[in-house]
Parts: sequence; structure tokens; C-alpha cells
Amino acid sequence: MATVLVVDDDAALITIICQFLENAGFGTVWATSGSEAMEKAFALQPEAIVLDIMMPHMDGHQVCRRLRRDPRTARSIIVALTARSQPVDKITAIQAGADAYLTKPFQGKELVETIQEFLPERLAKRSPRNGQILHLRFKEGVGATTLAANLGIALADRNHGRAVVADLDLQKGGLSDRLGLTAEGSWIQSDRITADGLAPKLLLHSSRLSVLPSPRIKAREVASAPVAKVLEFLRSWYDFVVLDTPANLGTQASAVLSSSSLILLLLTPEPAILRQAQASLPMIRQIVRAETQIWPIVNMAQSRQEPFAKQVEQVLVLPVAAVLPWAPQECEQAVQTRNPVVLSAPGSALSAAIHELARDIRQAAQLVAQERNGT
Amino acid sequence: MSSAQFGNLIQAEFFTSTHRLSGRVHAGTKPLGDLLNDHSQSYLLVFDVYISRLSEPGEIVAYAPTAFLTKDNLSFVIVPTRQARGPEQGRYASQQYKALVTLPGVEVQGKFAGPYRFDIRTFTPATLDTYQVLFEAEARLVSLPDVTFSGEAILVNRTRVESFCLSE
Repeated sequence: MATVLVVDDDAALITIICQFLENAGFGTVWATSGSEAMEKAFALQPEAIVLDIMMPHMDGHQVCRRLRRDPRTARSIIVALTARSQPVDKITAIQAGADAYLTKPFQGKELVETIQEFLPERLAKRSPRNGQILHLRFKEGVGATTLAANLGIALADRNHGRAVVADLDLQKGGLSDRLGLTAEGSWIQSDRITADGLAPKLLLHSSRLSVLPSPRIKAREVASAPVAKVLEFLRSWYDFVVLDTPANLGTQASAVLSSSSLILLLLTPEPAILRQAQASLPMIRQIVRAETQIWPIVNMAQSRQEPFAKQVEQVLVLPVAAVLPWAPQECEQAVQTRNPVVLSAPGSALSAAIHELARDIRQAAQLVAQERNGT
Repeated sequence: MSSAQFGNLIQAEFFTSTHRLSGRVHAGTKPLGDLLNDHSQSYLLVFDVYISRLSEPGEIVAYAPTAFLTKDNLSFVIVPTRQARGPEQGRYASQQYKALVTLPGVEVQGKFAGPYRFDIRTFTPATLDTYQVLFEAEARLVSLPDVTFSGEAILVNRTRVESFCLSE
């Protein structure tokens, strides 16, 4: 049974709306203020929220924006309800994140039909694809953070799913800076990680990509349990979780490797790196799950027909999933403008290659989901 | 519908030259038009007022449980039809005219009822009620021409009118 959260400062109206919804087979919960609504929405993650716009203290637009930003409620159906009925009111509500807009006085049937119209699509999207992608690099400076940011944006496509990039360089990660986002506070406050503590720390990029910034802690080592818990939450909220990790995974190796469904081995055309990958591959295979896929990626390639890619395939006995061209000008411009290449140079060869890789990842995730569902 | 009636509380939209105020008025048995044209009180008491700036007319910037609005400084008010009719309409209404009215920063288009031989020169604040009703009306902000406010009736403050244009 789908649950609907009804939010209105008029208790009498809440009773009427709940009655309509319960008669139509929905479960209902209610809140009489914006702050109470957010508390209940984050805790219960209802399928739909009927939200009054005209409420004192925190109006419906503010509530709507915060619900949409939070991964726990980003997929809930939001129906705005208000006595303000001008076209500009509808536009404002939709821009704030509402799916639909009804004017008071309204018909109960109309409200029920509106929720039912959005429900099948939203329920389908609420099952995350559990696609956790780990970028494994064997040394710093191979463009892993650049790839993580760009791949995350390519995966966070409106029509294909929601994506987050988690900066797991816990001491000095700079992913949020790279995207022009400002992190506030650390998500590692204690060993106990909660959804309420984690969700507000996620940053939203204009491309729809969510970012979990580095907590930038001073301790050299962090226990793996909090990180594993964070990844568990992210996988339950997003279709794709891209991990940007340092070359030395340290104590996090087991947690990140064993929970990832796809590992991208990031290789630059250097014989030493290939030897390192060859030596590490058996150990990686011991830790990862049997169904985890390992895709070598050649980054900073001088040409599309890179001989190094052939060497990689021979040595690792794995097909190279992507050859990303060397694009120093575009990358330099992206760093300076804090606007990743897929946005700042969408027509570039690098951008095209990243989108192609994202498409392959989506297809692979779809195949895994179909196998899991037996379809 | 632009406005709704809650018991004896009338939901209406009030516009000044800078702000939009959505709120409820205790009109009792009288139409809201009568309260606006009542010269014995210069203020109108409004409850549950949500305030927006006309620069961002959909965004609510403040809430007030009660507010006093100075009738003279309102530009126009959007109300349900039955709240618009004042005594003036009962006396003269016999033919419909279309009009375009310009107010500071706003254009209002709509229909109004007047006598068969309507003389625009008689249309002065001194001779008629302060608020003129335009039915099936639409107001457009000059600064944001894509933004319109429509309603069954718009009560236009005649003392704020810059031009009153009759059309066919």
C-alpha cells in the first residue's frame, strides 16, 4: 500500500483529504507545518506528498525544494495544493519541484487521480539499480577525479537515473572544489552513521549530480564500518554511486571493493602502471563478489587506436571498456572554470567518450537488473 | 478560480504597485466590493496574509496572521464574481463594455457593465464608487509581461487609474 503524507496547516482539511485517500486505498500520515512535514517525510519516505503551499513560517515552496534536494524524498510524488491559482503560482510550484498542482477548492477524485497517474513510474524508479562503480587507480595524477566528476554527470541524466559521486579521499579529497561546490561540516562525526546525519551533507550540482564531499578529517586511518554504512545508504538512494578513491585504499579496501558492482581500472599509458595492475588483479578478484565486473579504462590516450589498449587486453586478459583521449586544453579549462568537460566542452572527443562509457554502464546495469528479476 | 470562499471568510488577492498579498477578509453578509467602497473606513483588515513581491510574484516572502491594507493604496483586487457587485452595478448595469485600464506598472483588461448611453467623461472617482469592477478580467505586469493574473472579477482602484480605454 502506497503511503501519502498530507501537509496542511488546516487540520480540518487534512481530515477530509486523508479520508479521500484512504477510501482510494492509500495509507496516510499527516503534518501541520513545514518542519514537521520534512521530519516525517525523511523518516517515512512516503510514495507521495500532498503539500499545501500557503503555510506560515515555512511555505510549501521551501519545503518542496528541500524534499527534492534530499535523496530520501527526491523520488516522492509531490502534489502542490493551494488557494493561489494564478499561472505564475503553478510555474513557481513546478520549478520548486512539484509534480502537479491543484487549486483549492479541489475534487477528492482529482487528487486521487493525480497521484495514481504518477505512481507506477515513480514506484519503478524507487528501486535503485545498486550500481556502485569504483575507480581504481594505481597512482595519483591519472585523472581519476576528473573521470569521476564527468562520469557522474553523464550518469545523472534526467531520463536515466540518479547518480552520486562520493569523494572517498577522506583526508584531502578535492572533488567538491572541482565542481565549484562548498562542503559544510564532515559526515564522519562518530562511528554511528545515520540517514538524518548523512543526507544533509550531500551537495547538489546544477547538472543533477549529487556529491558526497570528502570529510577532510585529520586522522590517517578511518575504520571501514562507517564508510560501509555510508555506501549502503547511497546505494539505497541512488541508481549509480561513483566512488572517487585515493590510490592507496588503506583500511577501506575491503569495504569499497566488496560492495562495488563495477570496478574501473584506470590506466594511463605507462608500462609500470600496467605491471602494477597485473600484479593487483588476483588480489582484487579475491575480495570482490563473483558477479562484479572489472573494466580496464585507458585514460589520457594520445590516439583512439592506442597500442597500449591492446597491450592491456593481452596482459590483463580483459577487454578495454573505453579509451579516453588526452585533452589537456579542455581539462585545464574545466579545472579553471570548475565546470567539468562534459558541460564545458560537450562537443569534445573526451566528452563523447565519457558519454559512451556512461551508456555502456547503464546498459550493463540494466542487464544485471533484468537477470536479477528473471526477465 | 482565482479566489475561494471559506465560510464567511473571503479569499482574495490584493495588489499594490509593488506587492501581491493573498489573504482572507471577514466580509459578513456584504460583498467585498462594498467593503472596499465603504468610505467610512480607510483600512481593510485581512487575515492569513501571504506576501509576494511583484518582481517574483509566485514566491512567498512573508506571512502575517493579520494585516491592515490601506484601501487608497491598493491598485486592484481579484475576487469571486459575487463579491464584486456593489450598489453601483445594480443601478446602472445594462450593457457590457470592454476596457483596457492602465495602472502604475499594470495593465488590466476586462468587461464592465454600464448604462446604454455610457459617457466616458462621467467615469471619474468623484462621481462613482472608488473601485470599478471588470469582469472576466486579466491583469498583466508591465515589468514581466508574461506574468498575468486573471479572475472572475477584478476591482480596479479608480484613483490609481492612469488611462481608461474603451474598446469595441
